[in-house]
Amino acid sequence: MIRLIALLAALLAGNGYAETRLVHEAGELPFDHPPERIVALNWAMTETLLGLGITPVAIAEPEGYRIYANYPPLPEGVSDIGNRREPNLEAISAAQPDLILVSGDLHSMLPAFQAIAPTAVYTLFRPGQDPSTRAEEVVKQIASGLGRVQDGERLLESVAARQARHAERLRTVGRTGQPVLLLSFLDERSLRVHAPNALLSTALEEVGLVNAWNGDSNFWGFATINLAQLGKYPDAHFLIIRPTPPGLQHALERNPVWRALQPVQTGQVTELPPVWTFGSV
Amino acid sequence: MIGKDRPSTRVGWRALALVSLAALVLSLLQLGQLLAWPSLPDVLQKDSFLQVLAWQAWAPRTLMAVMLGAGLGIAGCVMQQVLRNPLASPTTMGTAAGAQLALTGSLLLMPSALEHGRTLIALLGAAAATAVVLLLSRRDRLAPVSVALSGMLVTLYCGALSHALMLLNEQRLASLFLWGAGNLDQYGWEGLARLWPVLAFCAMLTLTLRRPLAMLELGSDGAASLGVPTQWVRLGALGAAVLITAVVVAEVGLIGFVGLITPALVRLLGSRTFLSRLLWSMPVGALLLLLADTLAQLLTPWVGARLIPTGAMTALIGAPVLVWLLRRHTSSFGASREGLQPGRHAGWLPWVTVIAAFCATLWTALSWSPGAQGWYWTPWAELAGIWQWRAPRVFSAALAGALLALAGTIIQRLSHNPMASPEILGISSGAAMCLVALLLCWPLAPRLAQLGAAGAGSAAALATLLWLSRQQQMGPQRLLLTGIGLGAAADALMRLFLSGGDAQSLALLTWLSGSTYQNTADEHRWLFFWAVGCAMAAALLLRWIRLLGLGGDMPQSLGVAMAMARASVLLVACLAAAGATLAVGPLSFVGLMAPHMAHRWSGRQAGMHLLAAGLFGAWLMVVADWAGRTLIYPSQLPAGLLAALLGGLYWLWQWRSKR
Repeated sequence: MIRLIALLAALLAGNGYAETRLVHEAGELPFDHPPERIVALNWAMTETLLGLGITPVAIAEPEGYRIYANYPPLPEGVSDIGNRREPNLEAISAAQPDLILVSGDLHSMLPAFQAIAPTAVYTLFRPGQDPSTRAEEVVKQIASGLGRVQDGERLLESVAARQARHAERLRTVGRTGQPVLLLSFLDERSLRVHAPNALLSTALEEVGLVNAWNGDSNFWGFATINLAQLGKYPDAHFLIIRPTPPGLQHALERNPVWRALQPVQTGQVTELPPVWTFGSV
Repeated sequence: MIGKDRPSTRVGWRALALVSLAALVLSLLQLGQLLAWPSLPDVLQKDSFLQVLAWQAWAPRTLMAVMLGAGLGIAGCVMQQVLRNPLASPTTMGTAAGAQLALTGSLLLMPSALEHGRTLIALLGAAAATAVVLLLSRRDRLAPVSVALSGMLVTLYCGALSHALMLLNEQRLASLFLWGAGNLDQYGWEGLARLWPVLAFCAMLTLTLRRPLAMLELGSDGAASLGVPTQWVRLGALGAAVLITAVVVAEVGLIGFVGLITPALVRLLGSRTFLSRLLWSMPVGALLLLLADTLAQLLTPWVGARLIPTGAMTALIGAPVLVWLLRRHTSSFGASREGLQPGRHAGWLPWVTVIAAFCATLWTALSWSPGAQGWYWTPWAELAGIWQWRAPRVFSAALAGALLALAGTIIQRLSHNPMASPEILGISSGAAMCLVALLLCWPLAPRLAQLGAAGAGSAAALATLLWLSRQQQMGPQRLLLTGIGLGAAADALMRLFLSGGDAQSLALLTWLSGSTYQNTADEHRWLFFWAVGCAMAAALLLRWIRLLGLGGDMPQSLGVAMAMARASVLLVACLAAAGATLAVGPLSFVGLMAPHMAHRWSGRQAGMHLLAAGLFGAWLMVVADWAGRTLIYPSQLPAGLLAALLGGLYWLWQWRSKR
């Protein structure tokens, strides 16, 4: 049966019908066969590809990805095409891609990318749209466009299952509804707090935690604050996102204000493994 | 000592008392805001969080502001006394920027050294920058505005390099921005404990030197005849001021302008002797910084999701004061008498050599580059494919370089000042300010809108400049002064903006550092027409450029309508600078360097000078763009920044050869 379908599909493709269509923000890309040499120009796209079981041939700043995100882990042998702000056109072209994935931040460079290979645009952060729903939508679009519908479903299911598992665990310890603050330390005095409209925060809410931050936040869903402002949230559990600046632990231990914070005194502080906080599902 | 009976002075003291009261009230208000009013009684409760917050965060921060303000007040007062210059201060002398550059650099290159030698590294940077400013303005006998001009140059230069280093260290960007803009947050008393011995030592040193320092007012010879070892006194006092600046930068980052405003205020209050100025600089400086810091904290909840760094606040207050001070001291402007030294005339052979070298560089830039397998010359067959990416960048870099050189040459010839350049004229600052405003209102503005905003900003700055130059008495120096003021204001705004540390600040930083990455579209064609237009205009106005360059009343006696001629020549320079700024950012310093490089051999004749400068400017930018693309392949460095680095190296080398 499967063989028959494959045969039919091949026939259709042979008849000039594109087998897959990759739907993205700026239109659709038809493909005769799913692209294999894919270049991801940012880390969110890298995460999505790796989550679908596809290893990109080249990404931007692979070293940085390994330090700051690295989930799913990046296999060796992926080449570097320069930094995320200014991906190197010559390096992209040298990777001989048949598909380039970019975010809308680089929209002014799209013609240059399109001259190298078909280019699909996915922006996770758009005004007035929940980034988490958007991320799910992007995963579905990419999965179906690359002929990986099943992998996409599996990825979303596994994310949902993991969330359910975490929610269940929280329920068993009676912590559902626990207010939390998601913190990235900039240095020992200032930090970023991720507001309820951040991608990571939505994930928290789906497992039954509540983002306690009630201040302003910027377009990307974070606010820059100083340590003293944490005092307004005595009931929150602090989730600190690694990597933290070098020497932070030591500096905080000596910091009288940090030590006096209620959550610190009651041990309500957890460090989270590195997550690229503007990333994908 | 202090004329208590003079009415104006009495008013001054009353004002001071009022301001102190206001500072106290505001500071208490800020404490209330920090602790949230209803829970205020909890402060009295032992070991409550609020008590910790009041005692370990608010109190040390307030005291820190007071101490640093007093220190910067002393530093400014001493610098002004030593240099006999009312415009000298840690900010205007480049001292603070040098310290910041040294610290940012060592954070990237050898972070381990920072843990112990933080102050030492800052001190080295501060001393080096101050020395460079003094050397640069020595030819003008340290005339006040000349020092301010060199100081501004060095500050801009150090700032550009710091920004570039930050770009290389993207993940720590936000923290660096916050520190760079002056972050006074204190938790615990450690910072104060580190700081007070140094500040006390410097205060004692200057107090000990008060008599010889006061005698400097008699002039070097007068003081020397009274047995004062003037050189040593100057060195010691200046050293103390530099040390204060260095520790302040190492501890809390850049806190601009306090050292400039404080002595000016003290003089306004009527202090006549050096001792009274020195003593009053402490409380006045302390008060100033306390006010600025408290205001910054009080305003923070209103700007939404970002912290207002104290340094941005002081700069916002300080920039207008700087402009006001500059306008008061125009008379002491030290235009250097000869301007550029006449170079020898070049024969046809050097011209051929230079043009050949330029063509060779162009070819190299277009076809020699590293790839996955190391460096290689792009094979003939692949050239067309590769050039579609390289050529637009190389050509827009070359055109922008030539335009900047054109603008720089005109401005230097007009103002008789070898330190003048488009960067200093305020054109770039105008562009930068408008771009910041745009990105604040429209975070994801496309490149076209960004270019439009930068263009509008340049135009506004240009209009201001032209309006100023309409007035008959206005010499070119006035324009430079306006430019310095605009530059300071733009700097303050940018700091406030960058401290947000988000993707927008990254976009701004990329433009600031002069990236040619996005010049792939049709931009280089527009730039080409722009350059041709400017070059033709300059050719048409060549006679005026030549005559205005003679200076004095000469042009008028030759029948040139001065105001008209100056306005049109300036217009050409500004248009050229604006076009280039859009393409390669505001801080490449090509407009400053290229005219000097050219002048060494093109001779004094205006036409040849312009032509040679254009060639050198283009060459410098092409080399910079090529180095930026290839040095850390596949990542890239911005061309404007590398041009600044190359130009700076050349400048230093030239200095050495002049000695």
